[in-house]
Amino acid sequence: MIAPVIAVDPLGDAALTVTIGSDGHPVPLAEIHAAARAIREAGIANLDDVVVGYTTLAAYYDPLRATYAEMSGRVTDALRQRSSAPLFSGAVSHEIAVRYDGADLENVADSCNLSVDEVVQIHAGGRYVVDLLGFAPGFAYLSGLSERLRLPRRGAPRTRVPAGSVAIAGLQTAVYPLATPGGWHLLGKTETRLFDHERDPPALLQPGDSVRFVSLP
Amino acid sequence: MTVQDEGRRRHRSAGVPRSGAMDWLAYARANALLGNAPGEAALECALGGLTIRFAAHASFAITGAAVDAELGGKLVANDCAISALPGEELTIKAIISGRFYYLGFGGGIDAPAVLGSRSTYSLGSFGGWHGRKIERTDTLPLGRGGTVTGKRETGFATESYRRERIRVLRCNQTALFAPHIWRTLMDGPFQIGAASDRTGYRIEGVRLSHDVAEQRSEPACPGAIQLPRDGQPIVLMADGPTIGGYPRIAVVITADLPALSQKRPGEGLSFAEATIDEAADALRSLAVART
Repeated sequence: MIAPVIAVDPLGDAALTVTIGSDGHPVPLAEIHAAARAIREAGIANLDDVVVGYTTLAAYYDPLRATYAEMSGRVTDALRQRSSAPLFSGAVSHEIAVRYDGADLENVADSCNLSVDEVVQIHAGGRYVVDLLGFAPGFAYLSGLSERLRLPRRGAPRTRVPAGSVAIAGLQTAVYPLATPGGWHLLGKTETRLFDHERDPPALLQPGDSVRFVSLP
Repeated sequence: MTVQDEGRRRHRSAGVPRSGAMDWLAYARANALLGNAPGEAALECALGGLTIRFAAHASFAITGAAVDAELGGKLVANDCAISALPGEELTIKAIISGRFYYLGFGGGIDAPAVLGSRSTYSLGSFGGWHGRKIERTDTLPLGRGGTVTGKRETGFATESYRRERIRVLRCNQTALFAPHIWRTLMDGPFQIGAASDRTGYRIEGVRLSHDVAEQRSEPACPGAIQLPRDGQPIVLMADGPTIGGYPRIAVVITADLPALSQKRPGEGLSFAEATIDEAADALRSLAVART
């Protein structure tokens, strides 16, 4: 089923957002990925890239070569011709080895009324799906975290989270591909490289892929 | 000091920021003055002093922030293509006004393109010169091409950079905020915060405290003005993330990103609402001025 497009808005003068759904009810993320694919595959002149968010997507263009009116028209046309071909037909299953010795492991256990071992078992026992990429190169938002590990973000974000940190927030988990500021709770660390600019594609995890974490002794 | 060009525009879907010159206009002007193709890589410098020794005949141009510069002991001007002889030294003594200046060279800096761009992304340690800032004793190869055009531009840069009112567009999340928050954003006044870099500029002054909930992660772009709960706006800049969770209230127009990027910490600014047509007109007038 194809959801109606409800709004196209400028995101500055070098991008536009498309909000899909009706009356503020969120649509399944797959709808937004399907819309993004339709825009990417339409061969729109001067379109640079499409980024998928949880409730909107953004299409980026060079404002010296195209106007908002032109781009919003072409994007709207492309969305009318969305196909219902299956998404993520090339989805891959990944296993990521983790040493569970993160700085927040004990705090997470305390806050969730669990032992450290239980936190590790629950996190490593989950099967996660890549929702979307963003924030940093190769950073994948993974959904599927157990309700038993649900916590709000840290009150004060860290100014620097080490590369390879495996972290949780809300009902999501992620690996920090490079050292960046971050507000998620750190459970452990992996040696797996999430992003390598010499690899094709450079991001290891792609939307639709599934991920399991394996606890290293 | 880093190598920058027009930026990495086609890998945002993998979370790779655009990067590229903070002051895109000054960067583009350097290439135009040198007769380079648009998009040749240049040096972006944010600190005062440096000395470059030319190993061979070369042409260069300094654009962006006004600097006190000498070639072989003689003063050289901004916004002007200049020839250098082998062994000659170019010394930048200080920045007089502004924040980023650009050193363009005839033929551009011949650094390998990574993901379609020669721009340095320091946080990710890739692009530009080995993914890092230029260090003392680095020797940078220049490409071929470029001619000293003898072109000289005056007036335009200072006019543009004196702009205090940075024009912004409403966006799809503007309506999340109460109308008085928007009015306060337009009224100001504000100043550039100390914690401002290629990733984002913190804006200090009147607090825009609000009770809009943290949003689900949504696409972002350079110029997006995010408003965390503490009410102190953050404008995302060239190395800013592709996706953000703070609600964004407005987006700076492309034509005013050069003026914004050239403001130093402590410098005042305010915001004014523009329409998408005004943004396009402003950009066209700059694009004409740059060539």
